[in-house]
Amino acid sequence: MKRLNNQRRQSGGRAFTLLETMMALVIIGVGVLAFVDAHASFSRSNGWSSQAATGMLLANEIREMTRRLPRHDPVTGLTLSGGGGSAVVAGWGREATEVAISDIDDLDDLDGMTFGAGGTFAGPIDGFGNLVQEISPEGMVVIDPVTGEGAALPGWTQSVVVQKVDPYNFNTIRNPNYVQDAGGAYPAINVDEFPVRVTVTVRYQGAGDTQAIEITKLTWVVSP
Amino acid sequence: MRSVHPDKVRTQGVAGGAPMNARRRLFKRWGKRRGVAAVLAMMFLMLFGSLSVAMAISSKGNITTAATHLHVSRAQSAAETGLSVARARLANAAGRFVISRSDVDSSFGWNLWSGNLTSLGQSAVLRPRTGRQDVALPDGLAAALAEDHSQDQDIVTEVGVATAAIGNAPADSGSEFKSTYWVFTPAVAVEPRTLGSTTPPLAYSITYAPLANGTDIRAIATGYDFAYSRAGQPVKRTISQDFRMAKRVKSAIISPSRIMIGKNVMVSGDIGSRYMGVTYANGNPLTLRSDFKGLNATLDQKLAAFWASLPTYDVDGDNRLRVSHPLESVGIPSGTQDFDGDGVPDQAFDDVTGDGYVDEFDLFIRHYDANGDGRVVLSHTLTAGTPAANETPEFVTTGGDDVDEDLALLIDSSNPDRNKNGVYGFVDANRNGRWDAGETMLDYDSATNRNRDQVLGYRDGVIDKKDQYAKVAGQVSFRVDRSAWTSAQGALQPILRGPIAPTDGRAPMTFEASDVNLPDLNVTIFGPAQSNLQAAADGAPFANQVATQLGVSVSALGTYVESNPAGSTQPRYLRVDGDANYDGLPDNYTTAYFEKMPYNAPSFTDYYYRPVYENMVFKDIQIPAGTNALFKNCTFVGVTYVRCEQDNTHVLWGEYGRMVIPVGQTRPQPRSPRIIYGDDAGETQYPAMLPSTARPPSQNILMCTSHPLDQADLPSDQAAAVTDFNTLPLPLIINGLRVVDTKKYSNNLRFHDCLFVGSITSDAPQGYTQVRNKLQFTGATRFVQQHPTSPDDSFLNPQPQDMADIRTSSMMVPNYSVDMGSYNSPPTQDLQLNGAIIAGVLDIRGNASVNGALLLTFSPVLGQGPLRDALSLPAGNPADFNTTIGYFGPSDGEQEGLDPAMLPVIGGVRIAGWDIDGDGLIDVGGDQAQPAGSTPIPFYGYGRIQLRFDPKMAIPSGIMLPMQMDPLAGTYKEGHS
Repeated sequence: MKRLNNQRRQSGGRAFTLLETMMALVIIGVGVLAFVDAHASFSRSNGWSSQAATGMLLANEIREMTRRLPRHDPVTGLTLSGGGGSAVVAGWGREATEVAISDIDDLDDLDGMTFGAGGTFAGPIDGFGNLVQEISPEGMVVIDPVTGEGAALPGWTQSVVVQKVDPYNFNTIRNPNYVQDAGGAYPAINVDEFPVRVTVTVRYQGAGDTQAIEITKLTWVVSP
Repeated sequence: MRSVHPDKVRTQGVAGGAPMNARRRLFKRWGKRRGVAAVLAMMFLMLFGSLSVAMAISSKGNITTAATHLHVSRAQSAAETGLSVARARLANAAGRFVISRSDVDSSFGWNLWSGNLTSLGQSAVLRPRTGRQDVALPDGLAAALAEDHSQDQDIVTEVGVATAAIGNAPADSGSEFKSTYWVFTPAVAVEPRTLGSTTPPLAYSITYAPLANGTDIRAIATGYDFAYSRAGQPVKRTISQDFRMAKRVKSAIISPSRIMIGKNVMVSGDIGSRYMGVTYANGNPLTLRSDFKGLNATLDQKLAAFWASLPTYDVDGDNRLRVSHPLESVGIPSGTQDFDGDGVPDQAFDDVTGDGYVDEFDLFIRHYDANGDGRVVLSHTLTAGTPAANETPEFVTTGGDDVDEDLALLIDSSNPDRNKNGVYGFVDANRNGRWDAGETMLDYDSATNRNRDQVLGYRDGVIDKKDQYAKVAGQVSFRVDRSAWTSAQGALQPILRGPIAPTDGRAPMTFEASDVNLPDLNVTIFGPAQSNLQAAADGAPFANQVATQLGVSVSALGTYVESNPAGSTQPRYLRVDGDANYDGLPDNYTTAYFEKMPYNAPSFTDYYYRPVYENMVFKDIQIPAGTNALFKNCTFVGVTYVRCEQDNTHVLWGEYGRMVIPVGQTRPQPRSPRIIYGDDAGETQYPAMLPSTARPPSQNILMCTSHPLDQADLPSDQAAAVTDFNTLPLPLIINGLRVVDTKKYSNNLRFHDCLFVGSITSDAPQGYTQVRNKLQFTGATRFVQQHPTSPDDSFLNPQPQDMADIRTSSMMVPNYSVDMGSYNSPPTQDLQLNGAIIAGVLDIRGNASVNGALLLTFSPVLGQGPLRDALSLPAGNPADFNTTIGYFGPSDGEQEGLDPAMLPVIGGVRIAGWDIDGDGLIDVGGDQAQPAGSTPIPFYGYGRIQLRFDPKMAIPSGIMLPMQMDPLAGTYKEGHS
């Protein structure tokens, strides 16, 4: 009997005490909290990484699209009518007959253009001018319920700025109608003989974001 | 920590000899409070901690990867900017060096790069196109580049050199490069600097590394993104591309005079017209004629409907309507129209070729394609031996006659190297200029028993999309402003017919082209330097070669009488004697051969008495000035050098010695007869302006009897009595002697049925005189570089050391008027020209193939050269001087020819003209009423002319042209080793 009592005491002593349980909970809780926080941080940084990669991809798509383009319109060129201070430039920006992305045939057509929601054209677009479509986690193209066609990658815009720049200083911006008159040590440079600098800014606006944020910016210069 | 069983502890305690009571107390406490939960909790904590750390590391890695990618892409874009700048700077720098030599080899390239210009023949260095004009001219290409880059601003000093410099190669550069004359540039900002930031902006730098081969330069561009660094180094990306020095033109035709391209002519390559006189009658810089108009009346209606849409809807001016374009597609006429009246819509305006455009070619195929398979099967004659041999001919009339065999051959034989492997053509066994059944095509695949080019449509017996037809497969460029042209001549569409299909996404037409894109090829670029071609004409003197073949001495040529009958295959020579009696005629003019000038032209301006050389072989010959010969069935081996007086700018150069056939006469006489002044007593009033060497007794004075042409045509005592004496031109003096017949100082030659195994070249007369310096190639004249029947005969083939120069040009005759073919060329004509074809004005008619480029030198300007009268007053129309390829008439500005479309049709045959004297040649044009007793001469057809630009073509040395740097497409490389 005595032996039995001893056994009972011994078995009751093996259970977790309240203190033990509390301490264990605290320790595990700290661990879980740290893990959750780390996971949240991981998700955020992974999202940033994904956005950065997507942004650079979209910027490079515009870069690819422009590789085949001359600086100014192959048909009408960039010309001035009139002279002196009243000279009017023709040919900067899209020409009147260029109404679709496939009509873009020179770099200055792209000046001020945005591809994406609220922009000049739907977007974002790829190097062939096609819509970059949203892909579901299952790897399927998401269909726009309104149009019945593939939905555009949501929240992304590609904005393009094309600037005429000085041949020897790419940060000296020239107006489209600028010509360099011969004088002093420098020769005359016609209105269409300047380099152009192209800057593509890719922005993203998430579903809950109040405004789009700049993801990346890509700049290059095309010489005559 | 690990838990231990109490029994084991006890046993161990005994064995260890520890105090027993203490061990028991401890055992009891452990038995009651073993701390398993805490242990487990700690384990979980470690697990979660480890996972968190792993996530942190992983996400950090993702961030790093994404950020690096982002900055790498930015650095890459900066590097690409650098390569774009390098390409432009190399082009600008090279264009400053105008060199006479054209053999761009290793030593040439290195001397140009390093600044040893004296070894490059004649050279000139121009001021930079955009850079400072007030710095010393560079001595070489490397120095020019360094100078250009020294003007760059917004330098980023954190990397590279501070200023552009020429230096030695880096130590580890390897044997691929030269070890000196590398050009290093500083880093240049691409983006603006961020205000308040010390981080440098995105930047690029360039290194120009000369390769060991001497002709190539590797541009190594490095992009820097300083916003992201590692170990203090910014993110960098390096790309490189090689550029090769070259000296060439880029167009199939460049002409300062008008260009007219007629029916049955296809051009593969760019066309450049520098003609500016758009306000003159017919002053169109370029005229293109449709190849399909006139084949069939119904097809003409379809073409008219199509052309009616072009002015409104052809946005880019390529004479095609793009199916997918929002505006151009609207202009495609409806296919529901029934042109042939069979009650069924013709669907005449479908894109049959599927190239995305509707053009004349689609209409043509749709019209003749009877079975609707998108192909037009040619006649039985042209399908013989082809894969289409057993098919029913479609390009035939309802009566089964062929419609236009020349056009069919032209299109089916166009672009002979269809697979672009460099092997093409055929062995022309029967020498008729076209592939026939049984003849061997050169690009044959024995494994499949197929001719590779034929599989792709070359001479496959059908016309279809494989032929990729375009009237001009290239870009047309104009020096003139478009609005100036259209306001003077109206809309361009009726002037320019046929699809213009440029390559590489370029515009079909450009206007106001610069000298860089459309170089000024005036005669001054030939300079005083003798070309290599001229130097290669080092054979025996002309008279010696003639005398040798006739079997007589040179001195006997003056009295030689030909004994071989006409038609003999032996060498024959028909003399033209000198003018011993000063009557302005050869002393044997009553029997000497003569012909109109131009030969066989309905409209002509002069006559020439010609010596005739038949059945002779000349090697590396120089034809003396004043020869004015007819060569029949002769072979010219090597380089044939036509000599003439180069200073020919006298206003009366084309008038002195001109001949007419007066009414009642049958043989040409001087248009301005002359008498000898000074041979009779009392004739001592010599014109004062004549030097003593041009007066008796040194030289007789020949004066015009009708009216004075120049001041020396009047004795000095009569000059004052002549009104406007001072307005008369001064006499022409050459080498101290007065000249009244410039035919003796020029060369007007005709080559009939001749074979040129090599090239023909000439002196470079300063002025263009359309009759005095003229070459005409008629009959079945051919140009080849290897004798067709005796390829191994060293005498009948050019000297090996001359071949490099011969390959550069079949014809280099600046400021000469050249007629390839006549105004009614026979079907047997087969002109094959290679390389740079250089002439003043060039006309091609009949059957011809040019693989190279046509470079024309004469720029017609009113009041200059032939466009002025005897008083130097402006006269004539600059638009009448034109480069004509194909047939045109006076309504187009071709004053010497007749438009075949306007010729009369008698008995179903178009008549080119009427032969009065029975020589088989046209004496009266077909547009005139038939003279009594004359014989009608049929029009032999439009022939076929194919002009293909050869991008690998080198141009002959002696031509002063700016250098170029060609990017080598296969050498683009990311990274740099």
